[in-house]
Amino acid sequence: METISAETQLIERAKQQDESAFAQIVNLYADKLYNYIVRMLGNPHDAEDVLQEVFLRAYQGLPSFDGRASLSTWLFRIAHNLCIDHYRKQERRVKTVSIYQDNPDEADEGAEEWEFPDTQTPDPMQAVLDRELQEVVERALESLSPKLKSVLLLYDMEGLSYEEISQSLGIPMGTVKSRLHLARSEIQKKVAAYLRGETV
Amino acid sequence: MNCTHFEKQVWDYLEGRLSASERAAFEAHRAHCEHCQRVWESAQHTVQALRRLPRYRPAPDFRERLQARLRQASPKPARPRLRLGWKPLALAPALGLLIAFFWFYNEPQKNLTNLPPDAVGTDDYTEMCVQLHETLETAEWSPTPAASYWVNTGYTR
Repeated sequence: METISAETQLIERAKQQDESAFAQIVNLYADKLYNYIVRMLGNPHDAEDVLQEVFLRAYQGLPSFDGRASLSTWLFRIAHNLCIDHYRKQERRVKTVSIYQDNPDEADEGAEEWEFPDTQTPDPMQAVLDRELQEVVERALESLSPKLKSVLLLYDMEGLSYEEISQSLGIPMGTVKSRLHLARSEIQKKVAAYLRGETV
Repeated sequence: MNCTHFEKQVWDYLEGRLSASERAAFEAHRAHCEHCQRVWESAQHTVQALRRLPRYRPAPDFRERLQARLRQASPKPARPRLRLGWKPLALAPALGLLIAFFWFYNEPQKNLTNLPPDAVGTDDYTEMCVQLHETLETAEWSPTPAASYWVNTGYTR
C-alpha cells in the first residue's frame, strides 16, 4: 500500500513538471525496460534509442496518465508498442542478419553492461554446462515470435503477474497463460534436445 | 494422469500452482514414467536458465543524454478524451434514413392541382405556357385578352 502511495506521489510530482521526480521514475524503470527492449529487439544499439523514446513519450503523456494501470504496466506497454513498431519497420527493410548471429564475439562490444545473477558455481565443468545451456536458451528465445517472446520476458525475466502482462500487452489473461505455456514449451524442446546430446 | 495431462501441468507444478491432490498425482506419474521424468527435468532446466539469463543495462551516460532530450521536449497538456466508442456509428444508417425520409416529403413538389383540366402531363402544361407567352409577347397589348388566350388556357372570366 505504501509503495502505491509513494508511486502516486511521485507521479503527481512528475505531472507538475518536477524534474527530479521524473528522474526518479527513470532510475526506477530504465534497467528493467532496457533489458526487455534489448531482448525483444536482439540489438542493444537500437534498444537505447527505443528506451529514450519510451521515456520521452512517458514524459509527454504523463499529464494524461490516469493511474488506472500501474506506472510499471503503463511504461511496459509503451515499450512493447515501440518494439512492435520497430519490428514492423525492420520487416519492411531488406532482411539483415542480427549482429549476434553473424558475429557473436562483437555482441559484447556495445555500451551495455552485463549483470550475471549468481552464475558462479564451484564446479568448473558444471559452469561450462550451465553456460552452454544458457546459450541454448538465448538462441531459443531469439527465435520466438514477438508475441510469445514478450509474454515470456515479462513473466520470467521481469516478474510481472499475469494481470500486469494482460494490461501491458492489451490481451486477455487466458491468452497470457496460453502464450506463456507455448513459449516455454518451445524453449523446453530445445533444452530437451540439448540434454539428450543433440546439436541444437 | 496421462503424459499429455502431465505436460500441461508441468509449468504450474514448477510454480507451485497445483493443489495438494494434483501435486500428488503429478509426482506419482513422474515416478513411473521415464518420458515424463525427462519432460520435468527439461522444464526445470528451462525455467532456471530463463531466470538466470544475464540482464542488459543501459550505458552509464544514458540518463544524461535522456535528460538533454527531455529538456527539449515539453509535456503535452492532458486532453479530455471523447469516449464515444462505436455506438454512434451504429446509429449512422438510421440517421441517414431519417434525413432521406424528411427530404423526400419536404421536397417542393410541383403543384399540379391548378392545372387546367385538359393539361394531363407536365410536358403539355409547359408547351401551353410557352405558347401563351409567345402569344402575349407578339400580340399588341390590350386590356382585353385575345380570344385565343381564353381558348388555350381554358380560363373564363
